[in-house]
Amino acid sequence: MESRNYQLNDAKMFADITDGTAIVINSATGMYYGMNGFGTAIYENLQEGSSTGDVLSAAIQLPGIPDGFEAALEKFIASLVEFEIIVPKEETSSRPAVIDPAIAEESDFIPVCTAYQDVQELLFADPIHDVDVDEGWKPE
Amino acid sequence: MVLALGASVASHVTETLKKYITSNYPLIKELFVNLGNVKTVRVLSYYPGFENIINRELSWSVTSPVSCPDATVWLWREIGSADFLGRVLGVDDDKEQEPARWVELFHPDSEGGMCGMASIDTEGEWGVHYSFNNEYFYGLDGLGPSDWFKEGHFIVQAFFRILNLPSTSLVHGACVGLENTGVLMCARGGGGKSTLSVQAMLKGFDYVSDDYLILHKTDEGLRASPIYSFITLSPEMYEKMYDDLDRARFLGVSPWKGKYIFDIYGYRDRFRDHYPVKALLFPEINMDATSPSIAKCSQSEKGKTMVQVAHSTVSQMGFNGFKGGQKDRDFILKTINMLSGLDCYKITLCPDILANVECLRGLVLSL
Repeated sequence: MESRNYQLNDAKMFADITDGTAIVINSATGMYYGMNGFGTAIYENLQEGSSTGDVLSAAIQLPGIPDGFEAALEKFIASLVEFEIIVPKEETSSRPAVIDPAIAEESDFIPVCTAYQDVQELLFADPIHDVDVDEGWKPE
Repeated sequence: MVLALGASVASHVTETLKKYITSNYPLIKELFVNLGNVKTVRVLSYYPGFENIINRELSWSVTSPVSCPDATVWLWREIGSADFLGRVLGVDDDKEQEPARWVELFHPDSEGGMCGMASIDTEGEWGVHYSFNNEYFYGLDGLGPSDWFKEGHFIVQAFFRILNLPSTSLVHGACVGLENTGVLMCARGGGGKSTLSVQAMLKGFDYVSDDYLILHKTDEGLRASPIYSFITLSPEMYEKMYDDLDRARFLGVSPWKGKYIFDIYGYRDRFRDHYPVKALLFPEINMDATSPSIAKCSQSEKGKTMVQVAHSTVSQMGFNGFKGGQKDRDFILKTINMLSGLDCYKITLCPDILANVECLRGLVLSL
């Protein structure tokens, strides 16, 4: 994994961290994103000047971190880039990353950024029971 | 369980609920609420004991009856609502051993996509919530008078939906000002906006709200209007403001964070409708600070403020509560568009609440 520095894409994204959860809003679309605790910790470190290499170095020292975490980190960073939450920084910097082991463990050592989709899409993921007044309320 | 409703079924549920309520409960209070001169809502209370509280919390907005209100809110005491779905609506969930207890009634064309929920278990309490088109139903049980202020959020949710118009929004925020120059304070609970706005009002500021307000985007700029005439203060802040709170009337203790609730309709001469909003203010408390300070926000700090407004509003009142949904996204986008042209300032609050107000006065007069 190539070590890079990233920053918030603040031309487009508004971000805040509350109760250990990063919340990001795309000001152009209203789309919003939430990160789990581990994802938030990584995002915070990137914002404070750590490179992805710094994050990886700190993460692999965590007790219980699974083998192959580098791929999970790469996937997470790729998702932030794909969502346009972060953009690469031209200048590079290095800063030791700080990650709370308990927060990483609570997230099962998997950093995740969720893009919230339409409620319709969420519903389609679950069974939807059509009902009709005449046929009664019993779901299929 | 999710039940997808056609429009006819959703209407059928609405009519069934109306018939059920009017057949089983006496109407105790009917009042009309003027929401920022934009919408008029009829509130029908069938819940004994809430009539005075409803009046007191909404006294600023209570208006004369109108023949065609824009929406109606129905409140009643639903005892034992756990079996409500089967008993009243006839819903039977074959896939569960027990009677259906939780259901989302979904109608794709209804306002917000989700037209209602029934018999949900919220923090251990059963309740019936349902809305379709312009009818909002809240069947609750076991609430003491103070609980109403917590459960009153259900009415806020209804107001939020009723006011979700192209140039109007209900948002979570506070607003005070001087000489027709208002600042909109945006912060989640605990950020100090309520204390600062109430203390400012007591020291002569014009007042719109300490918690929820209506924003209107007009050709002349952004305007804010009040809804509620009650405030909540921590016991500690109440002690600090005691001498100035002579026109406030104690209503109860909120079960949420133990805050004191006051009716401040006695200060209605300070209330302002359609008040010009000229800046955003992001308060932060620093208990170690010896004096307050104000600084213009950077782009990222302004973004943080925007997120706080959107997140605190949508997570409490949104159509899907910050869990996804086009309606929530539309609201967020609209709110950002309303606020993005305003300058944003961060005020760092110190423990001296009078000094905080004077710091705010300096900012407002400089705008």
